[in-house]
Amino acid sequence: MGVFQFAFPELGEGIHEGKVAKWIVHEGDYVREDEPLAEVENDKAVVEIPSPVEGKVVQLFFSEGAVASVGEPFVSFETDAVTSDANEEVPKTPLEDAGFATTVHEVKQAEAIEVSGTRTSPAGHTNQSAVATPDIAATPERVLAIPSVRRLARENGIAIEEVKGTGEHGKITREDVFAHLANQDRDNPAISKSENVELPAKEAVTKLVFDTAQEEIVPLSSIRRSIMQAMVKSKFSAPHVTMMDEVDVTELVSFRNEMKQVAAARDVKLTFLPFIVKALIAALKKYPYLNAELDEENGQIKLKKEYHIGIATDTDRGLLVPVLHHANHMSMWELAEQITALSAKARTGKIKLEEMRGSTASISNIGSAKGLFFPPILNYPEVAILGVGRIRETLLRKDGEIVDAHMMALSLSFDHRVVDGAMAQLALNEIKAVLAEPKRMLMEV
Amino acid sequence: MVVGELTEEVQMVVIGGGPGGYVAAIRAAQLGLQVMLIEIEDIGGVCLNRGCIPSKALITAAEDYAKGKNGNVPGIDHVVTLDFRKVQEWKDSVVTKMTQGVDMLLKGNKVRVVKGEAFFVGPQEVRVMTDTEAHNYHFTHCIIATGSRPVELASLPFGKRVLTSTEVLALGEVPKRLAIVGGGYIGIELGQAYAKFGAKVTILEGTPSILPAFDPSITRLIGRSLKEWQVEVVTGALAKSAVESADEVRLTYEVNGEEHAVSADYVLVTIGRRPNTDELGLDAAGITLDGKGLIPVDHQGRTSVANIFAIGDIVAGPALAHKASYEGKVAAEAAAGMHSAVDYACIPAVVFADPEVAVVGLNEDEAGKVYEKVKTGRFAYGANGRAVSMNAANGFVKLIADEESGVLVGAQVVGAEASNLIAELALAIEMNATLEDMALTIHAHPTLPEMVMETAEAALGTPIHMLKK
Ligand SMILES: Cc1cc2nc3c(=O)[nH]c(=O)nc-3n(C[C@H](O)[C@H](O)[C@H](O)COP(=O)(O)OP(=O)(O)OC[C@H]3O[C@@H](n4cnc5c(N)ncnc54)[C@H](O)[C@@H]3O)c2cc1C
Repeated sequence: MGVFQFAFPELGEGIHEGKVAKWIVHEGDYVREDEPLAEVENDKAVVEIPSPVEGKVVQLFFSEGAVASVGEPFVSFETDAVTSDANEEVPKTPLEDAGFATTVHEVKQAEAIEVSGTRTSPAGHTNQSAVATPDIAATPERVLAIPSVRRLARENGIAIEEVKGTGEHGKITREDVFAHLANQDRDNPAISKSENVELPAKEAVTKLVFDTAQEEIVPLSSIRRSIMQAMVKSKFSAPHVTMMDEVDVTELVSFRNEMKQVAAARDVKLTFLPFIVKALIAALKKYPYLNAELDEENGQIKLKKEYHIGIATDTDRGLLVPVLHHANHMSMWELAEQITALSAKARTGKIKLEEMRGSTASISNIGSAKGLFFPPILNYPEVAILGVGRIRETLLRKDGEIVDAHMMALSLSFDHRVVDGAMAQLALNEIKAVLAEPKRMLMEV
Repeated sequence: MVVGELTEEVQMVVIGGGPGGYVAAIRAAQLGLQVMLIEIEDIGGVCLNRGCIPSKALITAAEDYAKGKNGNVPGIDHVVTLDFRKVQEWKDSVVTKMTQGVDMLLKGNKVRVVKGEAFFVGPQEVRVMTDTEAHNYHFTHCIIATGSRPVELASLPFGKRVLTSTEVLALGEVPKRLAIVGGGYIGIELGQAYAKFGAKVTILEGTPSILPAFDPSITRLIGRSLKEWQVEVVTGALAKSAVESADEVRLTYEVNGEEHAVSADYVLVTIGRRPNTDELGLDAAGITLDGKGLIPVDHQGRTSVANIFAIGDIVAGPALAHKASYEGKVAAEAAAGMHSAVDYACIPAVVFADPEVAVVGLNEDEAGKVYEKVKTGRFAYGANGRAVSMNAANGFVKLIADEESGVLVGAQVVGAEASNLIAELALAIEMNATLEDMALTIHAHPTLPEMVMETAEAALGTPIHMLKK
């Protein structure tokens, strides 16, 4: 007989707490597994919390009206079903307790013999067909999913049974797991994904009812799906951190205004992006660990000697990342032309796969949509991505004077497995220095 | 604490060096933990030293001898002699080779091996005793993998002539008469092997059938083969006593209330195995055993004490080496912080009888209780070109599928190489393969696995090499 402490269970996705409306049991009561313990109220419904074990209620940790959060001690029991719940998770196989000389039944028999000391005993029970064959009838049908998909779900803290399978006969595919994950993230951003080794909470009895008529169902497009996969992969593989900073680009703004006419004469659309590409490359050259890839399997970091810069581009179909291959060999005009050409192709859906492959670092520009600071997600397996926000006009105190200035917002995300914060900030400083003083670009080419 | 007693700090302690423990130790080391493996006897555990490996070596030798003596293919005659001591030497060399291999792997993975008997003195501390000294180790994680030992019947205590499988595997000569109490897989495997070496074997089984966990269609084939090797099988027999004398042992048993007796050189008692959990000081660790002496664990092999895991023969499930190894990997990964879990669809199980028996997943009855409708197919070895050309036309393959989806849920193979054929079927079940998938996979000709494809087609109603009834 052991004491088992039952933690307040999760009542549904995203529901972290509930008010104890009424205790159905009292201290000292004997309860069976699955019998209701309490009624708990949250902003969506009143649910009954079932008992996870059979045993005597020792202590109720909350008084009626109090609010309990997931994981807090809720009820303690005196029970001998200490790990009964956990045990249920071990798959039962027909071999269990069957002919494979399991230690199980024979032992009992032998012990019985030793105790009684009688000299009659059945010979040779290497098995117990007559006894305790596992309760197959009670074994639920196993959901269809292959071992690697089951592992993927586990690694992301998902119970495979909860994933909706879209494969043949409801088979759960890798994509289904990713889709489930994406949904979970949307509904429930704060919930940690870590696997819980404590007793899994029983599902709350009352199912929450949502008004599905209010929802519009939009099937995922293939681009949406691959964005989803890429984001999940990046977010869950590479712990990344974002440095945010502002740079005074007053000089750059006037320089670009000057160049606009020249550009128009050449029939080139000159945005700030080519300058940012140049500045980024200058920083990558100085800090090569940001233009790199982590090869975890072989325990090494590959420093890339070419600079292929991905430009995140918003299109009607979703986010695409065309690549400026060998951007370090391009003049400012070439960069401007290439950027215009590639983003036009991306927007019209004419871009080729190889034009979106092989980038070594990326730029994500939210400035054109008037965004400011944001933590960009790495274009995995790259180590760095530069987020560019809008340029805003402001007053700046400079050398004791108040001056008009143009400030640009920068957010540099980096893979913290490869690069540490100080180096990232130094790299960001380099980007700032080049952007602040466009003349330096001449030196960097 | 005794004066002078030292406690050393270790990240991971594994207790027991069998197929559960040594595999767990290697995996934990691969994942960067600093690992210590404690083994009281021999690295490799029961499986390598006195179970799977030596028994299979003897079974192969017996088969070689029998084929030589009786001829396999007509027209080839042999003069065959048997030097059983040499056979035993060879078997021992096989064991040595395998255990040395494990030693090398442990060393290569920087697992520190400590000789001695381990028991818990606290939830984070074990003491290891050797004949001369004791040493304490304080651990962060521990995996218990102490395996099992043969069950002794109070009425038939082990002695000079009442033996466990360990001694029977190591006999210096072929006994003239061998009586076996227990018609499970170990009794059948060893009984048939010694019968092939020339012993007169009697098997007593308590239930109405040998290998009682298996379908009657399987046990029938084995029963027939045992008869061919002049093995006498008595079912429904209760062993009552054994009296050892200088040169034999007399075993008394009861069938339907009637007393019988059989004399033999040795009696092998193989009625099951009990977990080595009674002398581990588990109380000190705070672990409670279940009524069967097994350690309750969760889906990662974790005991009620979160940093202690248990795997193999000491936890629920079939006592098989490959199950122990699988659980060992899961537990080591969980200890290292990975989200691994015991999550298999099936475990194959093999009886190295003649013919071999191999099963995986559900049998037809079991499947019938889980699925609304079940579809089966059966194909005979006699209709397979390779089986016949191996002079091994005895046996069958049976597949069991969920009728609605066609997904394979179980399989049984009886016949030559069943132990190898079962691997494809286990993979098929884990991969949710359907009968169609198997029927549409090209299998090389002429081979035994072609029967898998043919059986799937038989289940679908269109077998080529078989006429429909
Ligand atoms: C004759 C025979 C044939 C078999 N054939 C097969 C077969 O063909 N296929 C198959 O899958 N299985 C077979 N088995 C079963 C298989 O051997 C076991 O399932 C397997 O060995 C279990 O592995 P384990 O790691 O749990 O324990 P074991 O292999 O039993 O290893 C446990 C180890 O722990 C050590 N130990 C115990 N207590 C302590 C302690 N306190 N301190 C330190 N060390 C300790 C023991 O000395 C032992 O070496 C056979 C068994 C027998 C007896």
